[in-house]
Parts: sequence; C-alpha cells; structure tokens
Amino acid sequence: MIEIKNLSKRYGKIEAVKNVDFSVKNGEIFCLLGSNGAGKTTIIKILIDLLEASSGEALIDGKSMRDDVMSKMLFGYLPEQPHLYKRLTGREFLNIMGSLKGVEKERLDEFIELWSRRLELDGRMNSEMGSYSKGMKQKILFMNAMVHDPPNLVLDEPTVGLDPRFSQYMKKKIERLSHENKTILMSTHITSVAEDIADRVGIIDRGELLTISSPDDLMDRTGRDTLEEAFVEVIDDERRNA
Amino acid sequence: MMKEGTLELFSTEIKHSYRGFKERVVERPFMTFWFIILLVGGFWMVLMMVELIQGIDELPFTPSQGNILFVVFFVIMSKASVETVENTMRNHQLKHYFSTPISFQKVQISRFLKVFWYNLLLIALSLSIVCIHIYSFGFQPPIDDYFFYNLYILGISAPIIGFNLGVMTQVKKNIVKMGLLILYGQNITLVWLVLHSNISSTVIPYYLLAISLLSFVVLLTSKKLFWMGWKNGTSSSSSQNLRFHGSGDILPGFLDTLTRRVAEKEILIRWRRRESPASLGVTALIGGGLLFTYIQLGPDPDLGLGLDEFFYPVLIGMGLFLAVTLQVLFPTLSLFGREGKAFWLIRSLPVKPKNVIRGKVLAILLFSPFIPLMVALPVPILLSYSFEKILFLFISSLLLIILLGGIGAWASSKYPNFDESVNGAPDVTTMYTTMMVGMFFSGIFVLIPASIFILNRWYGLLALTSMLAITTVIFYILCGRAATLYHEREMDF
Repeated sequence: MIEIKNLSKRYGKIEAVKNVDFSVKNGEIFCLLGSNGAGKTTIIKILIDLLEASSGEALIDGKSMRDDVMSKMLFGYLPEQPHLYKRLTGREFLNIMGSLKGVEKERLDEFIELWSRRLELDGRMNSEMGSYSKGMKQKILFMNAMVHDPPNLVLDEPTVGLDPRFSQYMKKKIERLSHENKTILMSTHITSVAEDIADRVGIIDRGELLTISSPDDLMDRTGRDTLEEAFVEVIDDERRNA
Repeated sequence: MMKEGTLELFSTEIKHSYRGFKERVVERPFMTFWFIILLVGGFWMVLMMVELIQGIDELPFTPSQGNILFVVFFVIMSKASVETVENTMRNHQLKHYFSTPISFQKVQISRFLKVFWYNLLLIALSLSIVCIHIYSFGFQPPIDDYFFYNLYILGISAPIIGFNLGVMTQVKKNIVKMGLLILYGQNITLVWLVLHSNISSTVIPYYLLAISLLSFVVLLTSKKLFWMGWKNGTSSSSSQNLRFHGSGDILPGFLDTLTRRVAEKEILIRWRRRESPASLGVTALIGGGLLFTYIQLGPDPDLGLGLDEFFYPVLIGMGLFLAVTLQVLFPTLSLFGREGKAFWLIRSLPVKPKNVIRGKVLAILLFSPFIPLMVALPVPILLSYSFEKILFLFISSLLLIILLGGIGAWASSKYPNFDESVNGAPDVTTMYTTMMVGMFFSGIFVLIPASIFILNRWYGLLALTSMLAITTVIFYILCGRAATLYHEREMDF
C-alpha cells in the first residue's frame, strides 16, 4: 500500500507540491495525471527518497524510505528519464542491481534469460548500455524495477519511448501485476494509457491534487467521451476559477 | 555566417560556465576565499623554490628562462588537452549542437575558444599574482624582457597544441592514433628546441609564432578528425574484448555482498572509462621520475640545499603526495559527481549509505598498493636503506592513502558536481582546496614521527604507527560523515 499524507515540497518561494493527500490500495493501479511540471515526478521522487518532503509524509507499506533504507526492497522504480550506467552491459547492470537487491544468483540468471527473451533484448544483453536505444533502455529499466519481485511498483511514464507493440505489452503486464495484488503508482501525461488500465486517476495541476476518481466516473462527471477531454476540462475549469 | 555561429556557441558555453562559477562562489564564499589564499600562497612557494635552486649547478635542470617557459607551456598544454578530452570529446551534450545545421567546424572552433579563453584567463591571473609577489618580496626570477613576448605566444600555442592532441587521443584505431600523436607531438619537441637553442632572444618569438600558426592550420583542417573523435569518445561498444566482464565476481568473498557489488560496479566503470589504467600510468611515471633523478644524481648528491641525507626521503615524500593526490584524492572527489543523472539508481537501492561509500572508496583504494610499490620503495631499495627506514616510508604511504582517501570521500559527498558537460569532475576550487588541506595534515602526521625517527628509529616508527591509527579513525569518521551527506542529498535534477 502507498500512502501520501499532506505532502508538500517547496523550492525557496516556489511550492512544487501543495498538501497532496491520497493512498493506493493493494492490487490497485493508481495513475497520476498532470501537465508538464505539475508535480507528478516530485511526488514520486519524495516517495522513493530522491527528494525530501518540506512537510507531510510518503509511505510504502507503512514505511518511510528516508527513515529506513532497507525498506527500498518494497518497491521497484522506473524513472521518467532512462539514465543508466553507459559503460555497463545490460546483463552486468541487472546482475549488480539484482544482487544489491538481495536476489540470489540462480534466480537472477533465470530472470535475465526469461525477460531478455520476452522483451526481445537477448541479442543485446552483452553490449554496453550506452549503445542502446531509448526503448531498449526503458525495457532494461522495467526489468530492473521487477527484478526483486517487489510488492509495489512506482512507474514514471512507463510507456514513453516504447513502440506500440511493447507499449501494449507493458500495459497488459501492468494489469497482470495488479491482479497478482501488486500496488502500482504510475504517472503519465498520456491519458489513453490511464484510461485503458487505471483503477483510479488523480489529476494534479501546479502542485495541487484537483480530483481523484475512476476514469469512467470522471468522464461521466464531466460529460466527456475520453479521459483526455475530461482531463482538459478539469484543468481548464480549475484555472478559470483560480 | 561562420563567425556568427561559432561565436553564438562560444557565448552559450561561456554563459553556462559563468553561471556555474557564480553559483559556486555564492554557495561557498569561504571556500572561494580559501582558494584565493592558497593560490597566492602556491605561487609564492613556486617563486621561493625557483630562487632556492637557482644556485645549484648539479641538478639536471636549472630554472633558466627557457626551462620556466617550457614548464609553463607544458602545464597549459596538458591542462588544455585534458579539458578537451573530458569536456569536449566525451561530452554527450554536444549532440544538441551536432543536430543543428551548424557545421562541425563551428562546433570545433567554439569548443577550442572555450579552452583558449580559460587558459588566457589563467595566464593573466597567474601573471598578476607573480608580479605582485616580485614587487612585494623582491624575488629575482631568471627572466629578461623577451620572457613576456614568448609567454604571450606560448599562451596561444599551448592551448592549440593541447586541443589538437586531445582530439587525436580519441581516434578509434590505435595505430592511427599513435601515428598522429607521434607526428603531431613533435611540436612539443620543437617548442623545447626553440626555447633551449642558441638563437638570439629577439628571434625566438618569431619561431614560436610559426609553430602556433602551424598548429592553428592543423586545428582548422582537422574538423573530420574532431567529428570522428567525438563519435568514438561518446560511443559505447560491446564488452567482449574488455578485460572485465560477466557478472562481476572481481572481489574476494570475505567482503560483505553489498559493499562488494558496489565496488565491482565502480571498478568496471572506472576501468572502461580508462580512469584506473590512466592513474596507474601516472603513478608509474612518478616512480620513473624518481628513479631517473637517482640515476642522474647518484646516491649522495651535494646540491647545497642543506638537505644532505634527507634529500631522497624529502623527494620521495613529495612524489608520494603527488601520486596519492592523483590516484586517490582526485578520483574519490568525483565518487558521486561521476554518477551524473544516473545517481537515482544507487539512491533507490536498498543499500545502506555506509555500504555505498565503502564500496565506492574500496574500488579506488584497491589500486593504491601500486603507489608504495612504484614510488616509495624502489629508490630506498637501490640506496640500500635500512629496514626501519623502508618501513617508515611504506607506513607513510599508507597513511597518505587513507588520509587523502577519507578527505576525498567526504568532499565528494559535500560538494558533488553532477554537471554532465564536465563528466562530473570536481571543480577546481574543491580539487585545489582539498589538496592543500591534505598536504597540511599529511605534513603534520608524517613530519612529527619523522622528527622522532631521527632521534630514535623505533620510537619514530611507533609514533608513525600511532598516527596511522589516528588517521584510520579520521578516515572512518570522514566516511561516516560522507555517508550521512549522501543520504541527505536531494536529487533535484
């Protein structure tokens, strides 16, 4: 379970996140939707301890990652930008990351073999990652997030850079993971992804969480046919009233 | 049109650098002030040394005008070459320039101008400090009126030659690279020959000017080399032909798994970036320099310095400090900066900060045994020093490694530079300040036991071993502090 409690983050006078409060239940897919710079990535970075909250707290299975580093076993993270160690091969990278996450060698080898085949990376696992395309890096990062079979997944723009085949594969995989009772917090500005797989979406704008709802409810409430139109309606409405 | 494009790129680079510099000065005013004091003091020391050794005839080199100019030329050229490799040839961000309709040459010239501009600033600043010292303290360096003409011209030719050499080092095929470096490297020999020839002082500037022009022509005609070198410098390859590969079982199993894995990751990356082989090479060069001095001067050099039998211990001490600075201090300074934007990877792992620091420092310290082997031991063995003396030098080298390693680890967490345009290298104020702090403390920790050693060898060794124990405690404290700073660091980029 993921809990965000009255979370705020300030950079000097700029308030990037303002009293955001929500939780993601076990087995749920929760999608943060927002424009560029809305504060989605900041919330995620605080949750996994890349940033420190100005106030409030972010917990995974009741634990703060800042207070207990070993609790980082509880999540797998896929970042928005695929920054990797360019001089390591995909196999070396996953071996090192897996063993740092406490995965046994035998299981790790099986995982790498299986997933590199599934994601069609098996021919490139011994090449340095600096030579990978963005999509290949995204696949490696997805494997890295899953390597220790964590109960929670934090995915920042998981389908960016993937071709339509793998984008669809990724969406199906995320749905399957939620059926296995894994908690999934996603951020995206591709509304069709959220519409297809999210149980609930939270719309965030200028650091404020405007609404939380299921995609269908949101479309009904705004009278729109697609989540994209509903999203734009909510944001425009808020800005008009501001 | 060409001029406009080049100047636009150049001004962008300068603006970017200036903002970074300004930010550092505002963030760390004390550090900046301290840096200026150390810089001024450093030049004073150099002038003192020049004055001191002017009267010594036995040295294989003397501080003549030609030698001083050549040293200045060599330092600026080396600096320009390293900057070119690190900040240009391995700079992935140049792809943004290459993806615009600007020609390779404009990019090349703008990068050169950046290197050139900084070196001109450095010369101006250095000359100002030297002039103030000469007038304030009455130093009399062996220079005449033509010194400044030559210096100005060398100030132009050194960055050009350094830039061209930096580009050539990144050529993919080793045979072509070696050929180019050997051929073009003759420019350095030419400068040396001109500065040490019997040609009249009035004519030397014209020869130097000719060398500068020749090098500039090479710069203008090497745009394809620049493009190929950049592609090679920023590309990654299959690891099949690299020495370390596989799952990374490089280190012995008695270390804890997490520390071992972090260290293995570091070793692999540092080796593939050729940082470890390069620093080992520099250590071998320092050791070779000490051996050369021994061969030149013999076992009992009478240099009139008043050092007598302490000449070699002092020289070895200086060599050790330099080797430890280059092989341990500077690499540890970039422990975190080198991670760049991939810093999130290590921060999102369930690994305690102390394991991260231990693993990263261990990866650098693993190569440090070469320092006593190459620098501290060969000359004393040739001089048939007693066992106690050799042991003293050996323990001193361990002390320096631990002390500078600790200082570097702390500073890397306190002042990381995540700027990918310089590959995360620490900024010059951090490098210089930590070096001077390291020199101060290593002086205290080694010189006190050394004084006792002169009176009684065994008490001296006991004192040094005690200092080593104290240094080890300091190392643990500094690493612990580094771990806390790492844990508290925000990744707001």
